[in-house]
Amino acid sequence: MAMRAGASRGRSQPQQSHRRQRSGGWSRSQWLSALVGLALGGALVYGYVTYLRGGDVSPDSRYGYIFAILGTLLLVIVGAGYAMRKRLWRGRFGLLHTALSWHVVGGILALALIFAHSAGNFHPRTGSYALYSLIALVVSGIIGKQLDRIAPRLAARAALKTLTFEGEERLDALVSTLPHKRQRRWERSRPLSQQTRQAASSAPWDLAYYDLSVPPDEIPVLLHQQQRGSARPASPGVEGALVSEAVAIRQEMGMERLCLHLIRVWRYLHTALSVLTLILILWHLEFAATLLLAAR
Amino acid sequence: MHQTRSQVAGEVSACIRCNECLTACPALPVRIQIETLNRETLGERISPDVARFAQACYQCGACVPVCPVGLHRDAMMLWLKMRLLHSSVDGARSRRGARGDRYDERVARWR
Repeated sequence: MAMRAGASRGRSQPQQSHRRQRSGGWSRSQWLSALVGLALGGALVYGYVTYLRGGDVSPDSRYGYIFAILGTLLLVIVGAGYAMRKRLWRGRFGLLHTALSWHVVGGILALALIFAHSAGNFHPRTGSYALYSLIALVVSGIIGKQLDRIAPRLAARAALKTLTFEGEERLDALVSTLPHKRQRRWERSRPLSQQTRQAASSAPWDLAYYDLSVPPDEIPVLLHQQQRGSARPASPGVEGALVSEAVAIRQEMGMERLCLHLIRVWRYLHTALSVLTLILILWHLEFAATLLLAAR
Repeated sequence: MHQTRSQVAGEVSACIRCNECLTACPALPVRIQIETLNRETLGERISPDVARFAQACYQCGACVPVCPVGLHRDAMMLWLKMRLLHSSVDGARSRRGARGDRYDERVARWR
């Protein structure tokens, strides 16, 4: 088989890589960003504990403002920076994968900084809404990252079950074998003179005559129709096996489609949450600016 | 969605090697030549870097809209993923040898 021939000869190297990946194989940029994130996170925890031990613990204290400014700047850098690197500066500043690693670490650190800025104040004000939205954004990113690991693997596994050993569609193979067998059986049962006459008159001369676009949903129905239309119906066992095989393939196709949709829908959700967070942060900044101006 | 071997072969042969898909890919962990990727998508040997990239690809579809000739690199990567998955099942079966019967049963259940 094509897939097997391709895979078996170069077996050792991809398998090693596959195992490495399964055991949580991170890339160099992911390791580097995680280490830097841990170091900065440690420094932040130290700073936050020192801040809590001091007297003035509130969002509008001096350190509270420092946390807020640093957190907002980091959010802008990793959020807008990644979006611009992806859409505007394509191919510049290294790999996009590296930018994504920093985007993940920066997002988590920015959340920690904004959390430190809140200093345990969760009054139902603009800042709390922005913080909740930011938490939802970061959590959606973390869940999305895990989905990116699991869903493609499930999709590939489901897709593998819908293909034949030669790498072609199993449904096509299933549908194409059925009429051929029936046609041959029917032709064998007729006199030779009728067979030749039929071959001359009924063979379609145009390829467009064949309907190649049968959707997977219709396959079991199609199989039933063909069974009903045949001169001699197939045994119920054969029919049942064919229909159940078609249904199983259809389920695998549905599973593959679901996994791929999930990945993309989650991406849209993350983007929508980032827009919402941006709006809430701007609202909070406007609120904070009003308070500051009123105090002066 | 996935493509068949013949469809993947058609897409690989239509690739103009502009490298736009790899530039737009957020999952590419190391630099890979597009020629290497195309060759190994259908070729017999899969190098560790390409295998790693195929594992890392999460089918986000970022490579599709940037392709100037409208190819589906995500489907080609899914094909590579399937080949790797198949090779891992194949390899596990051969490593098990004579004791592989139970494993074969389990594989047959999900295949």
